[in-house]
Amino acid sequence: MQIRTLLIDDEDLARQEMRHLLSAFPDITILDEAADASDALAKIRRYRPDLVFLDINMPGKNGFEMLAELEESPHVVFVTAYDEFAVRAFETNALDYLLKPVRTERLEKAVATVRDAIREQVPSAPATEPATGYQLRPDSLVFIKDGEKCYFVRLSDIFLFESEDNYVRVYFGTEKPLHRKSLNALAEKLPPEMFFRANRQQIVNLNNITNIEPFFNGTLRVTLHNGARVEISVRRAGEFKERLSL
Amino acid sequence: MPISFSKHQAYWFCQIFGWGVFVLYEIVNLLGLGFFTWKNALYMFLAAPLGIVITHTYRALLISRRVFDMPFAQMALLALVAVFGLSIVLFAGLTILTWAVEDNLNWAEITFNYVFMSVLNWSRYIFVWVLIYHLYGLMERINRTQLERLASDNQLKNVELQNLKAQLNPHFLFNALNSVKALTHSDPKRAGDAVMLLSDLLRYSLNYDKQTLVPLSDELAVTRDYLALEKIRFNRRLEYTLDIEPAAEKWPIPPILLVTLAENAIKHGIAQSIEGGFVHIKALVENDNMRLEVCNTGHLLPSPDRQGIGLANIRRRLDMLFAGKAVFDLHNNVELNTVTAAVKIPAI
Repeated sequence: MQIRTLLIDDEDLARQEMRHLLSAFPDITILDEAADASDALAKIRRYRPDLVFLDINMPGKNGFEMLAELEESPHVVFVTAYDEFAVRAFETNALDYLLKPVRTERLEKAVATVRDAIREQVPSAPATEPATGYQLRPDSLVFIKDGEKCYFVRLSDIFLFESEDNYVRVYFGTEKPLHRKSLNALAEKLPPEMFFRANRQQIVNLNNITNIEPFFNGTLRVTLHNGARVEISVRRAGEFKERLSL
Repeated sequence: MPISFSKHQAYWFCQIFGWGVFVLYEIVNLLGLGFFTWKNALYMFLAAPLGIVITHTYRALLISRRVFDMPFAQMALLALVAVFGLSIVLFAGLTILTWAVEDNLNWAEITFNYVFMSVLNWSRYIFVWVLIYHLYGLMERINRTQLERLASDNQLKNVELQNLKAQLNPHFLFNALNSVKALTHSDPKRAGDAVMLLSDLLRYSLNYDKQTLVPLSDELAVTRDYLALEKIRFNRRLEYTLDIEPAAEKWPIPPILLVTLAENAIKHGIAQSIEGGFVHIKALVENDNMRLEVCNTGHLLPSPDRQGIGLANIRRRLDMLFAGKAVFDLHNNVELNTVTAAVKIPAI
């Protein structure tokens, strides 16, 4: 299987060097290169690559800021020459990173990790995507940066989205970071077979519901795997019942 | 704590020795003048231990109230009050003690005049004690502040040294090495040139702190190396020119100054911009001063803390070397979208 790859670095020679190093990997196909964050954002959205090599220090937005803007993140291998701050972020968040000049052995390890991660992914049929908007799949990766902490989380691992001021708190595992996107913007992109808008504030993962009970005035109350309770508003209750009976 | 123990010992030695000398002196005095009686002698023998108790209590008070940290005038006033206060206490204590020992007190003897003269008499000895002890306390204070100043100076020097060492920044170094690695297969000749530039720059940055001033031409040579390396890295994103008046070539300047300014220009002006920009370096002599300018595209960041350490360091070095006669200035030209760092260096 080919790993469709994008190189993001503001220095020509650095991209040239990465291209040279990657030429030893027959399963890596380099789709294109990008020299800054806005170029990179456009190309990631256009190509939807499996993997990007991302330089952290770029003019304009840095690598982290760029990733946080994406709806869906490809697999990412971070690259930096020397940046104490970025390296600390990589270490504390267990992110895969390479230091320039890049050692071939380290690169092999990083590519192997990505290969494994891609193999685990359920192959999805891209033809089912609607023409408008950008639809996420259950196995889409989402990059969340909340202060110092960074997360790559698979959409299917998220059990609850909850709006908080203008942002969204995202619940998965034992974590609940704040994602700098609005609930409404996110709601449009989530796969409807997995996520359900329970009320104005919350979106639940239907696969995570363990119990449903009638509540006051025609509302429903559902319990999630982790014990959290979510109320389904009267307006949404009808559709909810319909969805579950399907 | 061996030091404070020996201080403690010295204190007790002085107390006992001082008061011992006092007793001896008084008895010799009484004998010599023919006033010696056992009653008078007993009086002196009682006075010495009582004096020790009273002055020792006073010392404890000085220490617990940190009197030696007070302003000088306040301390002197306190010492004056203490001389009379302690004398009164000593006289009163002695009167009570002799009364207790002899068991007969002639109240008629205790007139105001007698009390006043006795207190005045005792105050001579107490004065000597207070003077010695306060002088000792003052000396200690001076020593301590001097040590503290030395320690803070030392700390400052260390910080400075670290800052100087940190000036060739590792981010540049590793990016340059990465560029060289890329060139080894695409353009081996240029890779070789780059290695030479890098080694010249490294050698200079390892040795520059051996001299306090270098001719501008030396500094220009490494700055050219540095810019040539950055040109390899940034390619079409970086344009640079050097415009140096011949009269400025031999002007003595602090080492690494120009490289630091060029590095700042690249870091804030070129690396932060997608299209890149230019760096102009200019040196000219005007009215016994050499004016060195590094101008780059970009704008100053509004937050002052972002452009802190490197520039503050330059300012401090210039102040130290030229006794405040060198001027460093950083300004923004919004219309032209340029930032200029200018240093005016006086002739030595």
